[in-house]
Amino acid sequence: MTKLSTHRLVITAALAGLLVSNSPMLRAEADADLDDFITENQTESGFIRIEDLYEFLREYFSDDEEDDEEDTEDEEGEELESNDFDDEEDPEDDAEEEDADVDEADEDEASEEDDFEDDGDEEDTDEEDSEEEDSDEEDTEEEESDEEDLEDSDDDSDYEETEEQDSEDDSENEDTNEEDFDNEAGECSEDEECEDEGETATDEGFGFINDNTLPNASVLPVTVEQANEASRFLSQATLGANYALITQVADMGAEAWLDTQFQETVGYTMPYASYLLERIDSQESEAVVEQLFETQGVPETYFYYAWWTEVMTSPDLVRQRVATALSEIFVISNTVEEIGENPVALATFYDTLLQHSFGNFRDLLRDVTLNPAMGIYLSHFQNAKANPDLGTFPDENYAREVMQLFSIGLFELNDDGSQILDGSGQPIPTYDNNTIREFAKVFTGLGNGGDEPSFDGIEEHYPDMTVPMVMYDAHHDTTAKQLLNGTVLPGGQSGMADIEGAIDNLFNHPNAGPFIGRLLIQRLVTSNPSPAYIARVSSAFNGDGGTPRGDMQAVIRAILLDPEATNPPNLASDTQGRLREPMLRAVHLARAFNAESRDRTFNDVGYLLDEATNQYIFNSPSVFNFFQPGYAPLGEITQRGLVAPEFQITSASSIIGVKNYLSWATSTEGPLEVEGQSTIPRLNLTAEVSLSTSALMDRLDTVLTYGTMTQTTRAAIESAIDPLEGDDKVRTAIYLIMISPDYTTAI
Amino acid sequence: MKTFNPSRRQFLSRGGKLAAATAATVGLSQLGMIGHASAQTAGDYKALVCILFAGGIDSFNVLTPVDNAGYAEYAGIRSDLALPQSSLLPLNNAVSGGKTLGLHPALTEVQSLFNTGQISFVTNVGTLIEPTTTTALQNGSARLPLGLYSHSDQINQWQTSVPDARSLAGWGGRLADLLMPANSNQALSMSLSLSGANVFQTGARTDYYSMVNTGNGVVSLEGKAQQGTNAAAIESMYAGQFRNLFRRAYKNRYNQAVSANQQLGSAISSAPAFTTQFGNDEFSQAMQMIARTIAANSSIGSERQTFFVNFGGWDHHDEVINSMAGMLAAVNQGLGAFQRAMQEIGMQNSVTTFTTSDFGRTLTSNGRGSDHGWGGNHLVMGGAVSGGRIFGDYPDLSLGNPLDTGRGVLMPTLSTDEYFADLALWMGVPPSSLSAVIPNVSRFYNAVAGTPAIGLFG
Repeated sequence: MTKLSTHRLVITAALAGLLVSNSPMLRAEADADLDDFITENQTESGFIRIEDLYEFLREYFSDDEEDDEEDTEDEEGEELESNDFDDEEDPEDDAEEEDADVDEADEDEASEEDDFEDDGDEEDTDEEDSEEEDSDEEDTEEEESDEEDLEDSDDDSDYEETEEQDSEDDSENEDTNEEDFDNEAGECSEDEECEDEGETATDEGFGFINDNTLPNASVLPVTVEQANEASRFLSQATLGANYALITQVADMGAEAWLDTQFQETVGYTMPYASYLLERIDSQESEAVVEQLFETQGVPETYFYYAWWTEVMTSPDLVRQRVATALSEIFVISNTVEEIGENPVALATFYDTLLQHSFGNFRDLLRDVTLNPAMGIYLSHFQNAKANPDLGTFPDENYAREVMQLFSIGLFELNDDGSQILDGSGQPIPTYDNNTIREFAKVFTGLGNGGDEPSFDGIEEHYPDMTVPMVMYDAHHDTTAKQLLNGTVLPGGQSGMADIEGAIDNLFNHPNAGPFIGRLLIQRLVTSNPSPAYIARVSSAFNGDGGTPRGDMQAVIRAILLDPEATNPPNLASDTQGRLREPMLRAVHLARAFNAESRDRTFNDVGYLLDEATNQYIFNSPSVFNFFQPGYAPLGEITQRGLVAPEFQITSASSIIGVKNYLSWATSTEGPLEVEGQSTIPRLNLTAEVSLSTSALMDRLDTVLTYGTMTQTTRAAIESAIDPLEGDDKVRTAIYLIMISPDYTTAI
Repeated sequence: MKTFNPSRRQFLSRGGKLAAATAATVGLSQLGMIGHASAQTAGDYKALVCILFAGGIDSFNVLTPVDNAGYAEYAGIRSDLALPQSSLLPLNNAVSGGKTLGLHPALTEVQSLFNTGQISFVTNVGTLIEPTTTTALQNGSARLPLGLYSHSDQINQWQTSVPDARSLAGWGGRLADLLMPANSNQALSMSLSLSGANVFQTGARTDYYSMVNTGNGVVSLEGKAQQGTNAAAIESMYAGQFRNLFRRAYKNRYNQAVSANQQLGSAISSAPAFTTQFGNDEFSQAMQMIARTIAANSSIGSERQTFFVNFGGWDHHDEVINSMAGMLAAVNQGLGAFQRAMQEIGMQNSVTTFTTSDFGRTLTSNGRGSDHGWGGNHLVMGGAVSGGRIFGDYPDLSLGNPLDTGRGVLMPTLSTDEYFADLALWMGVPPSSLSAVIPNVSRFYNAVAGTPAIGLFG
């Protein structure tokens, strides 16, 4: 289903274009035909099924010549210029497609680019191009065939053109909370980034430059101990680092590097995800759409393409790591169709997490609350005030979960994360059912924030996912609300005033620091932080060091630079470490070994990951995430009173499945290396391939296990790889280390 | 090109995790042929097969009035979603709530199994915190399930049977917590999932074991693990001594997994092959693997087992008629073959299959399909089932009837607690322990008296 309104201009223009020219009369005629179609086909709530639309367009076009149809596509492309990527050819299509329709379409797009040459913007693009010449990309491309080189350079210019347009479009935006979120909805996600671009180099775009692939030249001379220390820090602070980055961070120092990360350009997922979606939505020909589905995947996958592309190529390594961790605290799931089938729902949500990862927790909590995908998932979208006539009452879902899972948890906590006990030694619940009912009244009246404003006129589960929900005060409960710790929201307030008040109430609850602090420590550093560690992070959250309460940079700094994170790993410790999340092992592989993609996209590298590992971002079976923070596997860990959340998805089958996935992923036939697919990401092992067995093991011990590999494991692997040579030797060594107990548990 | 299969991706990402299976066999070879071994005897064995129709099946188009008055009432409220009266399959003596009932035209095997006493239906069953009425709903005194009409909550509650709290533990998991200690085999979980992670089989002390629906049903180390001397290296690594607790725990879990996998895989490989033919679709393949696992049980030694299959994609806000016809045909084929296979190995009285879903759907049409509802109809299949019956009172379908909470969303007249209580009792849960499996059950009937809640098993 689609809301036709968002595409209406495009379609009208397309139809008018078909009828020869852009004359107002013809446009009106096309508009009228479109009206008839909508009247006949729309649902009660104004939705049109995309299949019907295609059918209509095909019939409309079938009365005319083929050539005209292609022209129409051009027209449409121009209308869609606001879409960042619309003019970009797909490199894979070029290389692979034999279908005549597609070829024709490509030609048309190519000529369309010629038209654009007249635009002033183009000149800037050329400048960027030449800046780009010096980048690392160039080295790689030279190794490839001439023919592909040509295609690639075309692609490059497309991307840069896009980047330039973006930075101009968005340069005026300021990084203030409300505006940012509002803007983020449509094309905005690049706001912050483009603002940054004004200050820094322009070659970082929104994520198509593979900064991860650092040449050997940038390996700095550091000691093994320094490298191991940096590698361990990066295993906590990022989704993976290669050897060059490890030495750079070792040279610079973790704290200084972290400071640079706080300033990095943000790699939002929305631009690429929405581009991929628009590429489908803008096609008139069902055959072309089918072709795109075949070669480029279906919309359900587009967020995943964008996420991989950003985590692989965007320079904001720490921000991506934190946002991914937050996605396991503020859980939504693609298992709900309305969310899973709509890539912009996931992209908007993830970008909200990215946006506030280095901001303030209060803004994060507020924007997550207003996010429409969250509204669908926890059913506060279109949640109406009580109606005595109908016997309906506000939905309590979000009220409950925002307290239990997103802000304060079930029991009153000390700053060190321990439970406050009452006189009889019992924990004290933070809220009861009355509190839930009061908060449920707060979260009434939120509805579609899209361009068809109405509380319940939008079909139940199809709001505009790109913009925050907005308040419809007529549907908001205006009675007074008794919140936590004696706070009362007075009756008669506006709905948004109530929501802001409730967010403040939760944000200022003393539990917020220790509750969120512990969850983040578990995701980034260790399953069993000491009370003192949690207390130090709570203190940072509370602003004891002079930063504002909820300052995420202070919290992240406190987590990552704490002695408990940075002290040398203690192999004899029971409380140090965590099981590496299965999906993150796959990302680590790609990042640590320089996976590079000639079109700079990493579309499908996550293929089968969810099946193999029981885990993939936004694929949680419930709001309780893939695993719970207090999960303890039966046996020694339970006996010691410790927890190990990730063991909850370590079943008898997944423990093997992940190993098989890593075998596939490290092979020359896996998602990171498909023969004959020149644009598909591949591992770049040139730095490792020349090393002796012993030197290779030293290197991999630093990169993957930061010097914690046991002698038994090392000896076992050395004996297996010693007879092997070259690429095979390196791949086998990486595989064996990544399936070892030594790597799998990050100490 | 190995990296791509859009239709598969689509299927997976829709949350229909039926195919969770092939996970670990990515691009790698299938394992051995089915061998032959000693004949299976039923013994004390009992298994439950839980089928989840994720998305919310429109089950009033599964079990449908066929008598003229009943059909008129049905057709009146369902408008464009009504199946033609003449297309409905007749059932023997299927009278409930004053209506004579028939089946969706795709369910020919189900029809035959009903008429031969191997299938019964449970009608208008759904999530309830406690017995209630629409009057209580309207005056606000009814306690309603959390997140009523919401997929994420309702699909959860159908697996936990605890609609007044969010919980990660399913009733199948609690069943295993209670019954697994009595199994001869303590290494292999009694909860076997053909669809990977699920709430139903998550217990406090027990975990589910994920199977695949290909090869010998288990995941074995493949690819690089088989090359060179890697196998020896892996064995050596996992024999190592680790001072760190997490490494030790992980090592132990891996070694346990390898041993369970070998045992189960070899048992399934050596179980006798069926002459019963299964379809090639994912659901049939999953049902076939369950049948093969049951056939292998004499060498596994799990006297009690549960199986879980998620057949998703029923959220038919549009295209409900066409989509259901195709999907029910797959259901029909899979159920039919499975029951024939159980008869073939003489296990039909030891295995009970039952269906679940997020919710029923609105009886009224939204113009193209139906929206999220509440009560729905489900089936129970097996030789032990008191077959050929409709349990519960088939509801009045007219708009505004006493059960209608609006748009033909029907308040359930049977709770999931009552539905599952009978299944748990059949599995051997003592009535006095039933509340350990179905925590709220005493709100609906007195389990300790020893009588079943519904009487599914006669």
